[in-house]
Amino acid sequence: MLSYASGRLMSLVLTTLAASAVVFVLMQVLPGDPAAVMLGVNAQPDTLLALQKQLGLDRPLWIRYLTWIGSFVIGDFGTSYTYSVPVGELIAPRVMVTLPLALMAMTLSVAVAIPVGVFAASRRGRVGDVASMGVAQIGVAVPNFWLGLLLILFFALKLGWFPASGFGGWENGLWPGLRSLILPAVALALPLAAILSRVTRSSVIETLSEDFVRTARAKGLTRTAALWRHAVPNALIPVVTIIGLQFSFLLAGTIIIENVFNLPGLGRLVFQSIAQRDLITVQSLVTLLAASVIAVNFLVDLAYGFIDPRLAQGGER
Amino acid sequence: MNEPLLDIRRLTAHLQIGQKRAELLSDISLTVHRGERLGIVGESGCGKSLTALAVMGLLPARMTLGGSILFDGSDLARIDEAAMCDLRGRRIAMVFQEPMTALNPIKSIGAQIAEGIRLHLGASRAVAEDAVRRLLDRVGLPAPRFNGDLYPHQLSGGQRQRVMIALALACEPDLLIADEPTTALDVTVQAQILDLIDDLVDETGMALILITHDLGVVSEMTERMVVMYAGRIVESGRTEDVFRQMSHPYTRGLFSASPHGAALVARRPLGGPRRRLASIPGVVPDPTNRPSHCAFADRCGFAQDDCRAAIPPLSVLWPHESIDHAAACFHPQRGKVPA
Repeated sequence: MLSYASGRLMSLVLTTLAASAVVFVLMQVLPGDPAAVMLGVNAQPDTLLALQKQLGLDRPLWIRYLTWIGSFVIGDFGTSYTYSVPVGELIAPRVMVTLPLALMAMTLSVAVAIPVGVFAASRRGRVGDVASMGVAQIGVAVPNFWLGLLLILFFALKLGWFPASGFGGWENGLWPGLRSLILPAVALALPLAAILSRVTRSSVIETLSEDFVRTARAKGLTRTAALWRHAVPNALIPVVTIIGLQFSFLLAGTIIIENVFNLPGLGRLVFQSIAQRDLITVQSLVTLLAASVIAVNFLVDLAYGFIDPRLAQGGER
Repeated sequence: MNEPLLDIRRLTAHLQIGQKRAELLSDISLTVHRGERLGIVGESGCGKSLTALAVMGLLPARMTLGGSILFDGSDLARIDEAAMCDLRGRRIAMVFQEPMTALNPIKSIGAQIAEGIRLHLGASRAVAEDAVRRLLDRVGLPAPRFNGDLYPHQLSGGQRQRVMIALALACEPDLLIADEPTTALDVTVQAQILDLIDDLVDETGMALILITHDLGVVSEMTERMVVMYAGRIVESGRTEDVFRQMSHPYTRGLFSASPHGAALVARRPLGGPRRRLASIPGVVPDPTNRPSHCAFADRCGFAQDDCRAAIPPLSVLWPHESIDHAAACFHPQRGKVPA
């Protein structure tokens, strides 16, 4: 298990570095000189040169990359071109919005999708299956921003249970913050849950026809016990894979949903800094988001090892 | 006490596929007494495994059963699922053909063996662990090389089949059904597994239903046998009697097609020409389209007009105090089995 984990960790670091290099190069080849953008069209050439020197833009590409990535790994993300504050200070409070939002959405999605998928699989072809998968099919097709608007209309404006937009903050206890994240989390989670429940269903159906499920029944386990104790754990591997992949969709979704709900999170920061050509902020943020997706997939790999002892042993079979 | 442990009476199973009706089992009647060993032989698709699964109550729900399966007085074809779950693994256990896939790959073998013990006998974790250790020793997986923490992928096919046997024996069942327990194993391992089953049946006094297509195995392991063809029993009797006097042409065909059988009949003289095994011409009729006469008639060398007119009933040829020798054939063969 340990060598499995360290092997995965190694590839985690390498993938993150590769992602950061891609992000960096993409930012460099974008048209527009950050110094020119900061100073405006009427800048004097020598002021421009001085600022370029100050930002380090005169040095070769690979030196700039190494300087940036070097300070990035020790937590120095540079200074925002537009806000003139350290990027770290921009990110920190927004992580406290986006991270809970993503975790809530992910938890909700898994908590809905797995029971629904298993239920549908266990009643394959019957009313419960057809009905729940029909709803899931609609869920796959519904865009999350539209769902978000519907939720605002109904639960915020009509019923008044939740705020329609904005963030309550964590200063006055858990509830105000949590309350303003519930609707966006639901809007993010349901389309993901729809896909995940379909994956769960087909994976469980496949596993139910395995010989070991029959062995479990031959031991005297009821249909339900054989389903939950033998079929479901074996069916989880593809489900966990999809959960890992969905995390990147989730982050992309936060960019839209945070704008719909007017939440001060990372997604909105990405959106704003792109609009303002705040390249250093975009560069650090995108690398950070990429790193978090890679980290989640690292956790998924570790989860495989826990689910399936054959993988934990590392390549024997 | 002379009540049979298992008494299958006129068991039928069919499957409705659209307009077509597939007759999978027709008119199966057989009995197994306590401690008795019954062999069921026949080609693939003849209904051997279906009969076993019917006894276990594990046929797919789409199949409709008829007749009765009396096990120690209760009719397994009719009792409810909860009662069936109490019997499965506790009083009737089964060993399957494919040891590679019959074990759950992500649970330790100890947990899989202990599951039935804890379920049926209400044993504590510690008691179940002791029982697992004893069972592993008994099936030839001794400590320290083997323990309950191993996973199926760390074991060979033969070792996995030993685990399956331990699993089946866990609650000391009255009846063990072994469905081709050695077919998927290496030849060298087959004999070991059969010997193990042989010893365990002797030791525990449980009854055995051994399903196989290998006549040699049946002659060595069982006291009585039934031969199945196209969902029906075509010959039954004491193993000894059936081997002495194979009455149904199908049994004879099966026998000359089997390497064991052929070797039993005639040993090839040293350096003599190699004899080819005699195959049975034709194929088993499709279950959706079984004829209304003897299903073997089209493949039979002895078929006459009456064979294509009606289905021959299973009729007694030689009565015996406990087990009659019977065959479902209008023209039962007599005399020695031809080589």
